[in-house]
Amino acid sequence: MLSSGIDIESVDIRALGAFETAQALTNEHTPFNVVAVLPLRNGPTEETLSQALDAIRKRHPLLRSKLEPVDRGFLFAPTNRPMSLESLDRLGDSTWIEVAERELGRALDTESGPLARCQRIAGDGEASEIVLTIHHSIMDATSGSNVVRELLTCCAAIDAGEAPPLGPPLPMMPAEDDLIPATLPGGRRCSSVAGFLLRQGADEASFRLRTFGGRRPPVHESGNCRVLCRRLAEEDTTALVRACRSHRLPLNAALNAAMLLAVHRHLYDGKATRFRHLNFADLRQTLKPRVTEEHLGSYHGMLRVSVPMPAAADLWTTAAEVSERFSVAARRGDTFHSVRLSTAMMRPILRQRRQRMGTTALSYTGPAKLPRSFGAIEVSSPEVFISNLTLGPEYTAQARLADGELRWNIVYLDCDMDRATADLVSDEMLDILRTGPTGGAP
Amino acid sequence: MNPTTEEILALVRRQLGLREVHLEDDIAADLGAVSADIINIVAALEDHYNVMIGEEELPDIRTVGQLHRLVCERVEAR
Repeated sequence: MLSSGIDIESVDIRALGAFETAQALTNEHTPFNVVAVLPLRNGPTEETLSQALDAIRKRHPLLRSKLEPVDRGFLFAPTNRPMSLESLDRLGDSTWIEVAERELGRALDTESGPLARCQRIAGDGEASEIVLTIHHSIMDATSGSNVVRELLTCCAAIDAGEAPPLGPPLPMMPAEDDLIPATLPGGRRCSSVAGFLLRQGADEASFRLRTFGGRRPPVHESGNCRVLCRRLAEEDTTALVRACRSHRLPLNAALNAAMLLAVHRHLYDGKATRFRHLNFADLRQTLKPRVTEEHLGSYHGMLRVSVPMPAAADLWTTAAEVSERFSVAARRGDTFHSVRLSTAMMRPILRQRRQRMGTTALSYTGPAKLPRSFGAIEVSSPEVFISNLTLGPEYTAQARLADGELRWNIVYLDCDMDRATADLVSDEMLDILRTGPTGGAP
Repeated sequence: MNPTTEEILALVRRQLGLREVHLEDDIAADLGAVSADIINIVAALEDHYNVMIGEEELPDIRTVGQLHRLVCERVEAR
């Protein structure tokens, strides 16, 4: 256990924003966790890690918070409970996979808090893993990466007999709803919301019509998260980036397209249909004031688009389609509209339990910037997974650039597919990305 | 030859269909560019000045001025 008794003087309390509330509501259906696995050499002792966790907890108000239900929402309210630290035996190089899969489905005690816990997997050798499980309502990719850096920086300092070199405790930042700039499309609270809702309604009707009688993501009573890690080699990643540039398409669009195509071929037999696809955008740079990475929190948005999947879809046509749909939606301000309306859109999905949110979801977080060593501690690129739920998409992934490679962390549900099928889809996805640069000249 | 400030501003104006762009403008937050716009701007600069800008450098390009500096560095290093 960690040393407790942190003196909390601040009155860190605020209502959750709409997107945070949607994530908290999701948690009432299924645990909604971000699970970050840090593969280490010469990792910290339990005592060092315990002290480092205390240090980051003192710095970040959301690591000292619980979710307090109020009316039809929640408050982030302070809690004195320390972050739990559990030590697990490292039985082999894949022990962390079982732990990560369990953590994705293991609820945090949100009503008592804190909204995070930690596990240390260690054995006799130099290799070990730290597994951080954090509720998604308090962390996005940007701040998650920063918290990991702070944690390992503290571990290195404590090992060197120094005080954790973190700054003073940070204030709790407002919810992203309150920071959306009025000058951008969708920025004003009432502007064009009606148009957004009309488009959502029309999209729903069109989706039902065009997928009538065809396969749709099935709704299951229960399911467990399973994880896969995949890499696209450096030379293939470089070729893909250059090909995207010559096609004038963001890398994100090609990754989304490859995922859509692979799922289409293996779960839908390549038959013409429509997919609902979810993509995520980091909003920190767009908010006013800008929310820097040091502030732990969930400052991203989700866009859902319907993508036509013809029988003979190919990478670049699909990538162009995806890019166009996301660009049009973003230019209309739909990213902000969907943030503000996310609670209202999530409630019926969770209440009715009649349809899945989509077929696929991808979060591409760009280049990873974690240093490779902290004192004597060496760290490989973290593996990051997000809980999926039986009402969520059938195939979900995080992707990022690390050491020149494209790294994929995939999550699927065992009620949707077996491991062999999940492998087939991921192999196909990588194959599409490998062969894409040589086919379909711009 | 190094790109001039005016050349970069003109290219960004053209790509985004804007009348006025300043070096200190944040490409996303002030000019409302989406990721496809940013890729179009970067790809156009790469073609025009025969330079390459890495994917890992894109998140650090926030303002038009930063974009200008990066392209100048690449042209000088060529």
